[in-house]
Amino acid sequence: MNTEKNSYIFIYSTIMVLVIAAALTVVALQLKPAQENNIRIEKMQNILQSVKIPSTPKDAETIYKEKITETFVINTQGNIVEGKNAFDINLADELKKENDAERLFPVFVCSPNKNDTVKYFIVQLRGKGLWGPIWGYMSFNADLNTVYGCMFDHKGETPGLGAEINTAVFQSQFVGKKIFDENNKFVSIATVKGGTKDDDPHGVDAISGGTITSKGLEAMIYDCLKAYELYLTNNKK
Amino acid sequence: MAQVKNSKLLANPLNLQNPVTVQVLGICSALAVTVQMKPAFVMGLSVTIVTAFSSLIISALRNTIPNRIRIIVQLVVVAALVIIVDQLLKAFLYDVSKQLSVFVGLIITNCILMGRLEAFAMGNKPFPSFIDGIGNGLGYSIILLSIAFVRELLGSGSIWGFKIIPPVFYQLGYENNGLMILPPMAVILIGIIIWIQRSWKKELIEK
Amino acid sequence: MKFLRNTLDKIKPHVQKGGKFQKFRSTFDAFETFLYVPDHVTKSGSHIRDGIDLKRAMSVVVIALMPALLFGMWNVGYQHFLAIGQTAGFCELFWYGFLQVLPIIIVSYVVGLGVEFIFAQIRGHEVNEGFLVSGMLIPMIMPVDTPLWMVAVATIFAVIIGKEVFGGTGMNIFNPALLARAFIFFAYPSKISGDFVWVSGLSDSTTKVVDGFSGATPMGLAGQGQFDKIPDFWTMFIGNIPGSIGETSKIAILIGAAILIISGIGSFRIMLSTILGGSAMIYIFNLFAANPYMEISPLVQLSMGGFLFGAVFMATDPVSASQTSTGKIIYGFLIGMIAMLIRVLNPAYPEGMMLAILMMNMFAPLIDYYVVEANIKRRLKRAKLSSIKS
Repeated sequence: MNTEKNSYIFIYSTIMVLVIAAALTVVALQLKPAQENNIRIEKMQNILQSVKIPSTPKDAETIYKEKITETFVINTQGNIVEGKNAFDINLADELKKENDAERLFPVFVCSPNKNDTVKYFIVQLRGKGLWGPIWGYMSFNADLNTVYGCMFDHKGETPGLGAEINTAVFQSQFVGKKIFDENNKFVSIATVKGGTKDDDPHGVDAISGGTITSKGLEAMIYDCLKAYELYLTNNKK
Repeated sequence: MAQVKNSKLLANPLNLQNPVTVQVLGICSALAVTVQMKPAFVMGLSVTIVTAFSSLIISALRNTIPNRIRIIVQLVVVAALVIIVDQLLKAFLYDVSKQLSVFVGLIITNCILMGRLEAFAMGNKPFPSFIDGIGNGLGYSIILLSIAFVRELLGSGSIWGFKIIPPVFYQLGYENNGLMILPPMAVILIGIIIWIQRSWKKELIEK
Repeated sequence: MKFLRNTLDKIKPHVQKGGKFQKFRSTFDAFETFLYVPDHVTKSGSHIRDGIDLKRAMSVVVIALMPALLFGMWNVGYQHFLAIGQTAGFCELFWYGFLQVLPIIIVSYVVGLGVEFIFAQIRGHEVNEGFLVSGMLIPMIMPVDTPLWMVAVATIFAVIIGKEVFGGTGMNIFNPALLARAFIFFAYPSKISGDFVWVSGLSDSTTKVVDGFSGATPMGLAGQGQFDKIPDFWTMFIGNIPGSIGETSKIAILIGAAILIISGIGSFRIMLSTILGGSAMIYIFNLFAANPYMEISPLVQLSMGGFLFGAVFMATDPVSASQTSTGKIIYGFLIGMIAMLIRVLNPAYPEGMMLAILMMNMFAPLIDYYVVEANIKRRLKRAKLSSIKS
């Protein structure tokens, strides 16, 4: 058979494209649920990490369902928005909205023990580091002022310097810090170059040599918590 | 082409015909995914599978492929296999696929693949082509794993994700080498591997 | 002296080809030529050669480095005692700094020469004396608190990857000393950036530091936006500021520059054009003045960080710099401009001199190529014109 005829080439390529397109469609459809599940589980693990509950990809979903008892969505006026699922809020998209008032922010409530009423409130953060996006979750005690725990991660900060933000050593500094001062004014938590004074409730040590990432982290915490500010002031005890 | 023994097809790419250190193909992914051993292993495995099966398919079809569009046909087959591998990784090895990010997709542009398809699979029977694909994939994997071994050991102090440098070292002032995590060090390491290989196999030295 | 000569002559037959210890020929050679003028003569044709050989040239550079090194030692002590809030006499300050700096110098020389000797033995060529200068430069561009093992690793890296793979002294593309610094800069960033590494003893948490003392270098302060805290020009010119060991005193560096220029070993073209290039870039920044960093005046900007040290001792390295006169001017000018560009515009790298020089090292042969090509073209044109006239 002459394989160089135009008609042959035409038919050959048509069949090839059809067969491969069909095969890929089947594969993609079959695997889609598993892939989406992976992304969900990673998010659940991150949220759990901010309230210091360890989890593995296998048990994350069960733990999450057990510990995260309540979720809701708020707007920048501090009101709860009905009909939205907090877990499905994509913070990156929300922050891109031009009008502040339209932005929505998720809140997750964690009750670690069934028996008592201890509750932690988890908020989501997202901002810019030196080389790319940084993000994280921060959890507060029921007073909505004292930090209970946090997790940060980054896409590609400088190894050994900015990249230190995702280490436990750095994150543990935030525990016990307060975001409101004595007069109930919102002050956020700053990263302090050269180390903080021991009793400073609003500052943590910046990463030496990772100035830009530290500043980016500080801005991220300030900007995102600012959006939560009204909600936090209205509901704090 | 003269008949070459199947065992030779498998063994040659590991050393004397190594796709990375001798033919200097597939360098870009060797730089990008060798920070740790696990992603490097998965990458090597993916490339081996894609090379082997695309060689098999192309070799089986070689008499029906119109010469004028053969490169396109090869590309489509490779691309389809790469997409399947990528999707599988995302579904079952999510953390590794996150580290590999676009580099699985970029297997399509890996020169080793097109090179083997053009140079071997188009002119040989399916089974030898399959073996040749596996051999070249393994040759690539070996280099990736040796680079990743050094980079992970010195850069992160671990092997396969397990910390193996004892904490005492760090207390004494030892620090992980940050340069190992950056891509330039991978180029230097490939260079050193080529250097070692050529001082060992003198016949590889170009005149 | 006679005794030395006699001993060497006695050993010589054993290490020459066919002798018992011919393996050590290169080692012997290195010592002999270091001590005495070599007896080699040119074998083919006649050449006009200078009486100065590589070793003598290197020795002059090392002498030129001395003022900066001695000042650096004193400054190490001065900064340390300033930090802990004690006063000490001149000798005590110098002695303290001397004890801090000496180990780094020893490590750099022992390791670097060790690697050179090993390679020379394996390859059977002479030991090259190129490391004499590199070995002195490496300690001078390190923060004083750099751990010694890091200096050793960086030196090994610089000599093997920077020099031996290219074929040894005279063949290297990059300046080996800068390569050693770049290695530490990227491999152990926390030991070469931040506010604690520049003053001896500050990175040790047990040291009690006086309130209000900051170990930040002027570059570090500028990088953090604390422009009001940058020392004034004269302080930085004299050099009692934190910084790498040899880079702080601009006076000492200028004395070194004078020695290099008078002896004809360092190219004044490169030094001058580097400074001009840097100033040109600062003036451009001053014109835009988009942020406080861009508004810093040229004199202050030039006396900050390692710019001057790099311009005088690093950029002029005859091996990695451009060879042609015009090429040298272009090469230096671009180094100056790029260094300022990185310094002011890239927040990730507080000082751009190292990266600028390494980058232009890479382009030096290209610049030379085009300078030579342009020359050939111009002469061809002239030749044609004159032939038409006649």
